[in-house]
Amino acid sequence: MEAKEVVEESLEQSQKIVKDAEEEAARVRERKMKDIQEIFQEKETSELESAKLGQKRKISALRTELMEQVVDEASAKLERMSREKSSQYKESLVKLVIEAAEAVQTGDLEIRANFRDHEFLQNELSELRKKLQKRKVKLPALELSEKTLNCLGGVIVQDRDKKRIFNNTFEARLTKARQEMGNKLFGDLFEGKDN
Amino acid sequence: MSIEEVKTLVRLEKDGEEQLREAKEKAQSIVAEAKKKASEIISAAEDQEYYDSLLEEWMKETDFKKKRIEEETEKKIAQLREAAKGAPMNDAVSLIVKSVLGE
Repeated sequence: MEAKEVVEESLEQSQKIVKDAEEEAARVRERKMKDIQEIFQEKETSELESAKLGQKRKISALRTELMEQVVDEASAKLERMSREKSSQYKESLVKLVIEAAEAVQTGDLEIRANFRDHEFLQNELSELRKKLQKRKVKLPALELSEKTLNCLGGVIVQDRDKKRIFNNTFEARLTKARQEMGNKLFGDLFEGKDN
Repeated sequence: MSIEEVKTLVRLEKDGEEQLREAKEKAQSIVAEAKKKASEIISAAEDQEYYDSLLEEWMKETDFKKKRIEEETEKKIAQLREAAKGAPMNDAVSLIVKSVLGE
């Protein structure tokens, strides 16, 4: 083999070595890019999902905060009504006794109320009995307990054995109203913003 | 064949061998250089720092998007807080009071 051929052959070989390396490098780059794109997608999705979740949590917390305000204001309003013994309040108290008595519906019933409402309910007992009889509630007796409740308003009605108790105090009704109406309140305001 | 002619032949043969040896050395050097270059090409493609920096650069955009969501959240919260004042709050209180009173 001549010297010239030896050099030419080595040049060809070197070109092939470089070309092969470039092809291998392209494959490596493609694989590495695919890997980091996957990592990036995963990280980005996680980060943005977390930010959106944070947004939902904050809006939900605001709704809870507003609900607390509503319940506080409602409690204050109910307490005022109870203290002032407004006609609206008295009507309500009668309704709450009837509702609770209908729910318990058995035995001798006892009404428990706060001290402010004692006098009113005592005076209303015979009227309440009549109203309940009209509603076909069998009542051997309907009495007002001497033991007063520490509550904003409303009543607890129970049978003598305290086996059946219906808590119709404002506090119990507030809790129930909050549970039942929580999602409806501020509905227009929060529609589509926290879900 | 004269002595001179023989000497010439020997010299030419030695020259040829020398040239071939030099050519082989040169070829070895060319191939070694190519292998070195190939190794550098592959190392560059495998450089993890490059990919890490690329990922870091992309994540800056993600951080920006995240910040935008957070700013948007604060804005929404302020808007909702403001919008809840007045009528919506009074309506909600009224609804709860009515429900408690059994109306």
